[in-house]
Amino acid sequence: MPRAFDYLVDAAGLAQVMFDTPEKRVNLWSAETLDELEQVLAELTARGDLAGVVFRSAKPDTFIAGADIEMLASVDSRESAIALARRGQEVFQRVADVSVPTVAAIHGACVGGGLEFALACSFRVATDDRSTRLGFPEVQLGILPAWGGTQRAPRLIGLQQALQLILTSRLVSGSRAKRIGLVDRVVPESKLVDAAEEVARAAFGGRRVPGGGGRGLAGYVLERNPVGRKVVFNQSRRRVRERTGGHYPAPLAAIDAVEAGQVSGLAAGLEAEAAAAGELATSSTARNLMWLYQRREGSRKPLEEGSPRTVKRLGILGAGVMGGGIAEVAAYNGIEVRLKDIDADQVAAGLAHASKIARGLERKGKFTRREVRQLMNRISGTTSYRGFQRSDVVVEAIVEDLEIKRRVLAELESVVGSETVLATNTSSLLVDDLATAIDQPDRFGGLHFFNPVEKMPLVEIVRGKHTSPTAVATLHKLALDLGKTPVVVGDGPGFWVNRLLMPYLNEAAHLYAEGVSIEVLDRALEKFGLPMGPLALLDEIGLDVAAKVGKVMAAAFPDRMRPHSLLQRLEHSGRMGKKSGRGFYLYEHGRRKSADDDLRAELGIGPEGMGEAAVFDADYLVTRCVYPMVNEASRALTEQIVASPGDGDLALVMGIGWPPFRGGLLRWADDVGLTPIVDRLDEWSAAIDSRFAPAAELRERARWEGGFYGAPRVTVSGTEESQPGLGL
Amino acid sequence: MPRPGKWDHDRRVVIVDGVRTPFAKAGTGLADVVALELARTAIRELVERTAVDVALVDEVILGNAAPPADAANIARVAALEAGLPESAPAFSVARNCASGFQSITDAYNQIVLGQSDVVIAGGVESMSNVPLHYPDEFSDVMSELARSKSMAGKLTAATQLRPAHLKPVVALAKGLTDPVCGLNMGETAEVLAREFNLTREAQDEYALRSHQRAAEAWAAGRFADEVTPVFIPPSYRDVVAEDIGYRPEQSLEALAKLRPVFDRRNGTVTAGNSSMITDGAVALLLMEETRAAELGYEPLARVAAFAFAGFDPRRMGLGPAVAAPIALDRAGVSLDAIDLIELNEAFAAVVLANMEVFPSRQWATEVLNRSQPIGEIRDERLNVNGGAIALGHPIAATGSRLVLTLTLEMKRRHAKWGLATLCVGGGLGGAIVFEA
Repeated sequence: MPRAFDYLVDAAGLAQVMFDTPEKRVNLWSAETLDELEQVLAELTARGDLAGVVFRSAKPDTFIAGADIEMLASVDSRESAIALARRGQEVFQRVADVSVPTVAAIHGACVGGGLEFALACSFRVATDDRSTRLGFPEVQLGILPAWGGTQRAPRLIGLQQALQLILTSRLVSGSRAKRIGLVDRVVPESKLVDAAEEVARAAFGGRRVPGGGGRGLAGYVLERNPVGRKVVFNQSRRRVRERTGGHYPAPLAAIDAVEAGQVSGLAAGLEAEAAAAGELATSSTARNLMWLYQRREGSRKPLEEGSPRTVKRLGILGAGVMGGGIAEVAAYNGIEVRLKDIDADQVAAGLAHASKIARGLERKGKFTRREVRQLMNRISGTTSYRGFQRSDVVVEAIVEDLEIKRRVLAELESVVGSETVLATNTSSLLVDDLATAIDQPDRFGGLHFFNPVEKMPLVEIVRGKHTSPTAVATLHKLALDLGKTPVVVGDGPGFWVNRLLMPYLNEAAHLYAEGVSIEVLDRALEKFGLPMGPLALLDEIGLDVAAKVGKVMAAAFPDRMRPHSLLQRLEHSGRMGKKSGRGFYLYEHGRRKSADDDLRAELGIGPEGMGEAAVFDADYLVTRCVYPMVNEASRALTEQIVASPGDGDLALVMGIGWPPFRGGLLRWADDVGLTPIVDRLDEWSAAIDSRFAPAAELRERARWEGGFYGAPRVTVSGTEESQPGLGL
Repeated sequence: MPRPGKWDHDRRVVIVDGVRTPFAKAGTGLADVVALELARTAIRELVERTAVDVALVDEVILGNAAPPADAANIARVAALEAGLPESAPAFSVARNCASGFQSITDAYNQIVLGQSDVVIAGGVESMSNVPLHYPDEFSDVMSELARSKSMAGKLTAATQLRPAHLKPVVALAKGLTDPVCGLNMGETAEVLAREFNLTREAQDEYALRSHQRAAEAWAAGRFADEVTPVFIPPSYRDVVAEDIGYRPEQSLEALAKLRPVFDRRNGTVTAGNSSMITDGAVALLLMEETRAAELGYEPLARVAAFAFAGFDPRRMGLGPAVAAPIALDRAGVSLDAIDLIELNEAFAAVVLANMEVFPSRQWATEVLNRSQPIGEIRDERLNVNGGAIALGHPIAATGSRLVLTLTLEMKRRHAKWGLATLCVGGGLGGAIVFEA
């Protein structure tokens, strides 16, 4: 008896099949559910009176969320990947082969294998609800829609629309799906079942079902002949290469599979699709992307310790770019915000920043004017502490000055309720140094957002010496409610991300001073896969901010983190990076124009190409910047700044955009091998400076051969279960 | 006639706290902020600073004399936008200049009758955003056009249109004219000035006093707690944090230079000794007294009694002199015992005329039918933080502003009794008595 499906056939022979995956929040395709679907189809088609089938979901706000990622991630060989693709294709072909009309009644997420199933049905009816989203997220996991998606989508909605869905992973609403022809009808949720049954009955009765969409004239010209199609394929390939820098094979493989089907027919297309799945699913890119996806999903689970309180009202001190950004993100997620600064003009600046972000959503069509107003109405500005007694959490985002922060936190504690959790958004101070200003330090921790708040997904939840499990859990849940990826980190200079980022940025400054040109250096790291090069990133962060953090890091780790003197000189010269229009690059209206060729003369450093480094290649530049991060990461891991290498890698991908296809810094280091990294660091330490000297714990890990991830459990700090320290 | 006699209700009503937006001269800082947003700002701030559990709010009542077309019940819309729960009902009230009293007295009645324990009351007016109307003739032609079935009929109707019909009428000018006596509010002030021989100098001196006291109140920080800033949507780059209109540098010389507005030849009422057309909103939290105590509040004052009374529309400015004695009787207190008085400065002439008749035995016997005069309005107790001449008179917000300013000052001075009273276009007076 199938456990995931239940069905009922009415007197007229119309069947309703209800999909309800046991013990899961959403419906997923697994080996079992595919088998069960096949069985249900066999039972139904064996009946003589079958007139139509409507497929529904019993899950709230999800139709089918695709294939079970556990199943995908467990694929260990090319053959098993192909077999899995073939199995899905086969079952969905049975759906397509049902001789009576089949209708997918779609409410909520209908993605990946869920959409491929819907495409195999004769008709699709979707709701106009906000939760209804259709699309193919596969390429984001390094794979492709391999259960007929690359074949049925272009046949239904045309080449260009199908490629766009598959290549961008963008999800579309019910009404958009109707416009492009992906669904036949779009109705309010309350009418979904009626409408689906109506479509089935009409089709069974031989009446025409009016569908949606159309390809337009341009589509017709381009897609109805082989030459036009070739143009479309070539354009798509070029665009994909531009966007991915050649690091992601899946979109190109998907284009190939679509083309195979268009040129040589469905059977050939399905075969190409399965073959591509075989290559992709076992590639390191797909393994890394799926691993990250699972890590990210894991970070959404509640912490094991401490019971979080739900934050309905958030207090924010400091209405700068961070405060205003946090306010917008909180209000966007339905949280009431009280935003304070010392005078009304500064509060206005914070509100203006929040409204600029919100109106950006309006400009992109994601928000109506009314929604922008309602969002802004959730933020109330003030210059007094009145109203803060109602806050569940108050986070300070004021000036990075220990004494001022301590004074303000003490003031704050005297006005809030005894249950209120207090947090700091500091990036350069220690939570424990601030905690001593507070009578109840157990209610205080770090809530470290990254700039720009509305875009950066990472939030470091800093656990100080006294921070209670309740406070940690509450801040963790708050970050989740804000749509962020929280990673719990220990208290220490720069916490996790900035501590690793500083040696990286500092090394870039050294390389520049040694004669490497701005563009050559940045391009090398961009090619490596980072969203921007280190010098551009310094401009983005602000050279003043970087100098400040740099000083703190230098004070904490004088042996290896002394900032290059040119960073200080830049700060004093008034070059603050993007915000001041001048840094390593020149900016106009906030857009990067070109590298500043006068900078070398201004700083009095040698011309390009004079230094030794100039003769080295991109690989040298990348490793010079990145190996010091690996070195520092080994120390921070020992200090339990993060609980596990997995947490650390997730934080780096979400926090600085470490290339996702490389998995994470530590996964990548394991792939490279720690021994060559140690050897190289030893070499530089002798030839250049002792700041490169490999940490004792890095040598240890290199000796174990397991690297960061495979190291013996008992002795390594923070395996997945957060084990005690390394004990070196 | 309202019935006199001392009030004695089992349930008593307190003003817990209140807040207002800055009052800004029309066409200045708040000109682009609609009434709804002003009201929302005041209500939201009230909720924030009192930390009242919004689930406890039984009713929201707002005075609003010139309702915007897009908010038929502005109290309801403002309450929801301010974050109050959908379950809290709301209504809007209008009694012209006393609308901001009416919301409070309606709240009082609900609470005394046991219908409500917790009420948000206040008033809002955006006089910068009062709609423009077409002349009645234009409306007539347009409705005839709509009614005509035949093309010929439509043409006939259309030919009746005249260019003058397209000249808009500011609804404000209409609103400030009493259709019964045909006089503009300023003209009623001229009536009083003539009747009581109020000189131009006396009126200007009173106006100067208003500016000086308002400026002093701001300088001393007394308004800092009363006023919350308004951040201007949609960009929020600008903020209005202080009243706009009072002039610390105001002088008799400057006031003397102004021409009379309402009677150009013989008049004494000028823009300088009249209240300003202004934008602003006020929100107050009222509770049943024991409920407030249970919730741990220390209220500003208790509402002792109130009264509204009618009088000659041509001399509407004397409304306080008919309403206040009734309210004082109902509260069981004499004017002499009142520590602080807020008497709305609609016009300097109105204040001065009331100061004449309050102690008048003749007024008492002939108009009030009483043997004893109401009593003297002592200058040091009157409008101690200035008034509408300096701060402005956003019609339906004013009554609530008088109550807020008065009760905050009572608390500050540990005063026992306070009186807020105002004249109302159309020939009404309103008065509320407060007890510490």
